[in-house]
Amino acid sequence: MDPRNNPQKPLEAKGGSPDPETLKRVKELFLLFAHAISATKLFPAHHASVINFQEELYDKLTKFLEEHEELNIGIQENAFTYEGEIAYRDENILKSLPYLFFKDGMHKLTFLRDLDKAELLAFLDVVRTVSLLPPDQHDIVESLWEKDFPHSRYYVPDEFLESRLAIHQKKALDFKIDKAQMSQGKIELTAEDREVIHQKLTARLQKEQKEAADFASLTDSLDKGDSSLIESMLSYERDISTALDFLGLIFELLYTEDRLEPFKKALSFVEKRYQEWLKKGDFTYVAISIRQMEDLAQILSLNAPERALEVEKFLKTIIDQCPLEALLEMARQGQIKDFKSFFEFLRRLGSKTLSIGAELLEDGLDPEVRSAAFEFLEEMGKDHLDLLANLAQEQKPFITKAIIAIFSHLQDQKAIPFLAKFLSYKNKDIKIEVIEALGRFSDTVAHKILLEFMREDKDEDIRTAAAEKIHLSLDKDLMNAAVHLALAKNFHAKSLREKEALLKALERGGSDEACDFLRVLLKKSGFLKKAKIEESRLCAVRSLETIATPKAVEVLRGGAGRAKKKIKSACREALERLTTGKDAGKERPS
Amino acid sequence: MTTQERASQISQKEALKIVVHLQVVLKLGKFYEPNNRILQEQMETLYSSMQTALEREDEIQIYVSQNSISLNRVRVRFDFATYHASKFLLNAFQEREIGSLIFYLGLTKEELTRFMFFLAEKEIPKEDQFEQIFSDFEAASFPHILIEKIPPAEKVETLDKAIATMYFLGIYHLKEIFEQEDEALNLNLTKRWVQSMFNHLAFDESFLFGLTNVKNFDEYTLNHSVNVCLLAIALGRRLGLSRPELMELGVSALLHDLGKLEIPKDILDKPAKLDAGERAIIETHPNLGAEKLIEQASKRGIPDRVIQVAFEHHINIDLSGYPKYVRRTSINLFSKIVKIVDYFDAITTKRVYRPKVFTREEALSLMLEKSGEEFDPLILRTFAGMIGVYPIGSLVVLNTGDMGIVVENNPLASFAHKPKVKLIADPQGNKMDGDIVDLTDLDPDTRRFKRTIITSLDADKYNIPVSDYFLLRAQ
Ligand SMILES: [Fe+2]
Ligand SMILES: [Fe+2]
Repeated sequence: MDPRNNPQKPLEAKGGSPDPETLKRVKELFLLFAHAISATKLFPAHHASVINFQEELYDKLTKFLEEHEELNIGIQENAFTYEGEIAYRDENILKSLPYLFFKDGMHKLTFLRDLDKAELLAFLDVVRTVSLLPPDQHDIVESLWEKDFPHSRYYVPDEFLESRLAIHQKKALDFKIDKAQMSQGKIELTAEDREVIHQKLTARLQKEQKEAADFASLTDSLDKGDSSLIESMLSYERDISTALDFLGLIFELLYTEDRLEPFKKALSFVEKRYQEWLKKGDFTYVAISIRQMEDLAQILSLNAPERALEVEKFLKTIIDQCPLEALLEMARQGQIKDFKSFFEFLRRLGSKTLSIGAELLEDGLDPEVRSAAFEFLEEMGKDHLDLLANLAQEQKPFITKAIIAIFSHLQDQKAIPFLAKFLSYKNKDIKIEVIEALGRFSDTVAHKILLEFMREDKDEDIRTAAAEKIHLSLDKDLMNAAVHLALAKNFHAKSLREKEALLKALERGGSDEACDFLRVLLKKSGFLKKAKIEESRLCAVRSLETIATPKAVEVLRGGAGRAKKKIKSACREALERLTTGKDAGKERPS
Repeated sequence: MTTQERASQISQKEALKIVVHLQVVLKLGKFYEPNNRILQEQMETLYSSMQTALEREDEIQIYVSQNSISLNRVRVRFDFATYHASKFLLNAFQEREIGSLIFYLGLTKEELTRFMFFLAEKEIPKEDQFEQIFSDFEAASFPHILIEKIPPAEKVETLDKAIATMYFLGIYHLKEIFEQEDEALNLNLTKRWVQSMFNHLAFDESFLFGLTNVKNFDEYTLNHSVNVCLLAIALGRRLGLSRPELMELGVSALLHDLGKLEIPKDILDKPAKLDAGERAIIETHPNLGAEKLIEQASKRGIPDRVIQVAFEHHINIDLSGYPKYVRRTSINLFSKIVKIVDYFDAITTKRVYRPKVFTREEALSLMLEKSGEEFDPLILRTFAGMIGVYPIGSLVVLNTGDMGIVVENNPLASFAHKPKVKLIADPQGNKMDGDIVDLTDLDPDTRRFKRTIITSLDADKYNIPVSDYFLLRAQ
């Protein structure tokens, strides 16, 4: 037995059996321990029953330790003992707690006074983690050793390891030394070595005086010296992501491995890693591994086409076989940590992932995700306008509006027909967005569509919005069509808002045509109610005042001379403002 | 003896400070008179930190067990910078069979100073150490100090045999890892072995360093790998790596040359200079090793770092060496550590193709010349500090004419040339199974060192089986 091998060796338990009261308390502690462990296996960490068991265990254990200084636990295959008495038993090896400790050779476990709660919880966590793994994949002694808990100790006899190491070794271990040999014979130094010794000895005698008392630097064990440098080196190294570092390494390994078979094996390891990352949603690494493999394929293609081909095959496979449904699900479940990389990855997968971007946008997760999804759709969509347009649906207003915004942002005239498609939608919000998007185009086609809205739509708001966005100056026909619209019989019957919007469109469209039209409007009479006509004419006067070109002034003068009283005075007032106002004498550019 | 209610608890930092200063004063007390300025400064710091703790806690109990020191039940955790303090104190306590020291409130500086000199100056009796010290202690009268004997169960026994057994079992275990591609053989056992080696290192580094003088047991690569592993863990510990990191480092070091398994033996052991083709084959072993580990990675649970070290351990810090990197611009910390200890162990090992074996001392100075090009300077410096001016296992000639083997380093840098030496031959060259002497021992009359190293010699040249002197302790 080698106590030196086991720094955690507990003090020997005192002899004799425990008093029944103490044993009862210890039994209770074990039960709580077992409950605490099974609760953490069943429920999430913040679950009430987990917390309750932990609290109770902590309270009772601390109390026990305060009174007894320590709790020494003996470990048997199926039982925990306290001072020789069985205190807990579980025969079921598959889930038995004592067996969990026993199987890795632990004989004793001790908790010491001053154990704090964090340490107890960390201890329980180790037990939980270990018990969830298959038996051959864990070692509780190893896990506890790594944790190095200050208030718990364990004891494993050395024989445990000795009996397991090198069991297949046929040769018996033999390192016998003949002690007698040590004091037999003579060492004959060579002449050369003797000379060296002689020289050094004489040199030494001279400086011995000085050396004898030179202890000044004795305190240098306190000198931190390189330690701060070492600390910063360690913290730098610890910040490096192991996975990234490893990817970098595999890249180099693949680059240097010129034999095809090992190359393929290593490549399949990358694929395995890649799949693991993909499964876990670690898209940072997924994206980087793809980037790296693309880089590798490129440099290999120069002088190792065979290997380059393998890498390309690898890339194609992972891209072709990527489970899109699963990706979407993962995104919805919030399993993706790095959306930037996630979308980078989707870009590499190509246009088939557009729908994932759209779904994510529609799901409306956090704003950052949405803006990343928007960027993704915009970038991917610019070469696939049709696919993008297909993603829009009347029932999905969010994504539809986003697509409209993307089209508007792209300013690609090819997007216009797709926008036109939305004319048939009933959703007013969407239509308004389409109108705004079309209004931003400088292409005549877009504005012809707007004119259609002005003319045909049943909804006044839509017609008005279209009138507000249209640019009539783009095309003569457009202007004429708009004038016709305004001269149509039903014009006076429209609401003031719509009329104003139409007149404003004409104003923007070009002063001459507008003035001609307004002149007509001022003169023209109709069958409608007087009030409606008057309203139209007052609008016309306001428009003319806004236009303020010589031609507009001329039309206003005409109005001031001929029209009905109310219109006449409106014209006069407008003229007066135009000539005496701030901008008097200045004509507006047409 | 103990007070049940304690309003506050001693902090780790406070405990460490007291323990480290205790060690410094004890050490200085060996050489200086009580009126020395440096000593007085250190004493002042020690006293004031103890006083602060005493006023709050009423007493300070320093308890020593196998290889840990506790202060009022707080186990003091030592890092690499204070490691030697713990080693020194443990040793000082155990030599005297002292299990605990208790200081009580009311302790004066005068009493503490007197006590520290009592401990420092006392020649350690050969037997019944504690009893003899205790009677002198009683006579000297220290009203606020109590010393207690180490409990029988805690008494240090000779455990060198167990350590040596574990060392050799490591070689056999590695052989199984190398030769069997058995799925059941996962790394659990390997880790337990590394853990055991770590525990031994923490307790008696010198003896294990001594064992690294065992070379070519069973097969060169296996023995070499075990040595590299021990030296790597020891170095990693000095650098302040955490236990999980040390575990990965240990496994990495152990498996660093796995690729050599694939290299034909007649090339590996060729007793002449290798031609370009053969050299190229040898130089594939990092690739082969990494690939083999990759293949086994999932079934054996091999960490990435292990693969990385196998691949990188021949790449120099300036990226020369092999294999050549195209994209990466640096090598991993673990690779840097393993590279240093690998090189050291390799060139101090006699091989058929290596006509000149470097003595440990020569190896170190050769490596220091390559600092910054091949080796990371900071890590190499730490390694040099660890190994000492006369590395353990060096054959040395003393000014007395005696010859000896270095068995333990002096942890103080300024005393690096004053290790502990086992005497193996008298001035006439007659071999003997001599004592272990501490070269810092002073002649009480002249206050000069009794012995000094004149030079180190090549043990191989005189067919001196260095490792036997260590293994002898394990019989
Ligand atoms: Fe190597
Ligand atoms: Fe090596």
